Amino acid sequence: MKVRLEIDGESFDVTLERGAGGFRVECEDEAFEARPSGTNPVSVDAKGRRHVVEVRGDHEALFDGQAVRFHVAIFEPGSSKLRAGHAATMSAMMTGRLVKVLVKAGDHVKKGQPLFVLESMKMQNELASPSDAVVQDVLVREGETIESGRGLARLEPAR
Amino acid sequence: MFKRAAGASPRETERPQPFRRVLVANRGEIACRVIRALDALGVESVAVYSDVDAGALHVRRATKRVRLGPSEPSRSYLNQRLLLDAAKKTGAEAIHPGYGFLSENADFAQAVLDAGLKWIGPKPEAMRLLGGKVPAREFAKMYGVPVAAGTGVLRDGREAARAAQDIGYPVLLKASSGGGGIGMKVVRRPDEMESQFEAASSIATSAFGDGAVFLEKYIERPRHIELQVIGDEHGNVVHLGERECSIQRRHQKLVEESPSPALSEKERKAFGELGVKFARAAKYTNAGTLEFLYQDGRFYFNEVNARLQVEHPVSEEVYGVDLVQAQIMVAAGDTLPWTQDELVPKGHAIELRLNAEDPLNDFRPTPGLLRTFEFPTMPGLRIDTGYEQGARVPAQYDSLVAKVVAKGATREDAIKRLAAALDQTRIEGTTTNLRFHRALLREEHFLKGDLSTRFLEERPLVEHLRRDHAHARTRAMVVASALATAPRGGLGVLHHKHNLPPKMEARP
Repeated sequence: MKVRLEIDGESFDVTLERGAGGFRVECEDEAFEARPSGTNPVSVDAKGRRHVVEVRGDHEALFDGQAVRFHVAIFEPGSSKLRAGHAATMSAMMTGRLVKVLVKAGDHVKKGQPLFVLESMKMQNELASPSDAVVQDVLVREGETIESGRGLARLEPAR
Repeated sequence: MFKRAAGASPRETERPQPFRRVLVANRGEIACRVIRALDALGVESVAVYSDVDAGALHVRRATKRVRLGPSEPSRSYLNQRLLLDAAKKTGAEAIHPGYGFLSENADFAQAVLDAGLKWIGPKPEAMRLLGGKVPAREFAKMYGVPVAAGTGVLRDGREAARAAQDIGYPVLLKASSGGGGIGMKVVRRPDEMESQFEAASSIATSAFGDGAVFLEKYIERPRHIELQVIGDEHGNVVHLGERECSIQRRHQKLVEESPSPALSEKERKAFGELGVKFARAAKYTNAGTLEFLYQDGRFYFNEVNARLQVEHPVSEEVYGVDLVQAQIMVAAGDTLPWTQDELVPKGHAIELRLNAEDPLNDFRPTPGLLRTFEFPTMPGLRIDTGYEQGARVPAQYDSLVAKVVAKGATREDAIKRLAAALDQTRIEGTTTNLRFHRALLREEHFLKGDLSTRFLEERPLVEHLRRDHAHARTRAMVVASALATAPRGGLGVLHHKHNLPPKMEARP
């Protein structure tokens, strides 16, 4: 599953994959195994340490005794890992106007290759492919205004 | 009413209302700021808006409102015909352009005058003379104002490369009609010139409708120091001291203060006199800013901003005046409300620009929802914003969310006050540079006033933020895995609860 979790106003896109006894947790360039136990408070073993998370309200929790405010901005249940043979949707991580579509269905693209150019607040931003992949379908057109989280293309990771 | 400096004459309180109704051709905080000044003068305001701004603060604060069109600037805030029609339809007698959009467009100013309205800004002739960076440089040179080595408008990358060879790399490519650093490119090697020239020209075309580009010797470690001036139609020109705006990213200001910690009293006095002389020579009316780079005791003229600037509040705070009210009165033909002798600076003021941008991602814009948007109130603190809790920062316009301004008896006082204010500021929903500003206010070189436009490259502020971010990330990942194991129903239930549509307000 994928979640955009805000903690004290800072936003994180976290991927959780269920595994034996816990989760494989990934965010940005960090990844580790987390083993939660108990219901509330939850003890979480991660990176050789034990943390205690107690949820105290819809937006409040204690993290190792420290109050934090949290907000679940985006939640996608189900598998989010790009797997060979399974197409996944690449989505826009910011809102803006799509000024260029650089690929079409059937294109082979490399990880890091710019696929779209999104203009936001007078700045042009390249949106790059998350992996080596084949473009199955482009879901947007040049000139469209795109909301953050909108699907841009379906990519099937290269084997 | 004006807040008056001690000893100021009572003239200003006896003035008749300058206009009956004024159209504000802008959005966001500056539209709100102008509407506030109009309210104080007893003048009705007309707000204009694009579709994405239909519910925006400036629209609700105004006396009257007119829809311009879709959200693209060219079909709304940049559309001259729509703005003139709106003014005509609502019986506005004058237009205040704010900053950005059409504020520096002399053709629009002329069109406003031709329509029988007043333009709350400099005369179109002065805007033409000084608004373009190239003519302004030439004019400055004529009056003995120091400028850096540079060129006129360049035809193409090849011509730029030839000129750069003469001047010596590194050079800075600039849009002649530009502002806010948009389209500016530092070129360090001849082989970068062609592509950078194309990029600068293309950005200039899309942002200003004019692709003209010139270049200047790049000064490596300057401070940015500017002078606020204002003139009336009766030949009076005064200055409101200098502002230092050295802390920038992508050539755009993030922090501004007055006075500059760099200048001696002697330099300050000479700088003010130089600026007034220059503005007088240009027969400048209304508010404007003369921008300079300053390095090793020398000033280099940069450009004139023939309009109100984002950072005008720091001068207002230090001089105890309302610059926007003065602009409106001067545009109506009044004399300036103060003489130079009556303008006495007091204390120190600093402004922080809170932007919807991510300092950890090269300050990329982060438009989005301001789910939580809370500022404290405290003495000496001023918040200028065009947003409120629950509003969305649109992707179509600039990223400024709020200006946090503090005044103190000294620079240290102002910094302390800002730090206290930011500790109590809460913004959630979209990323902003709030954390960046919090860290800046504790940075030793900033505290010492050791500033330059290279500050962000030289100081490891962003690296510190990145380290803090890594700690916060680990915490977020642990919390996410805890939430996923179902306290209060798990992530799915929390997500559902957190994103319920807002309750509709009952309509009267």
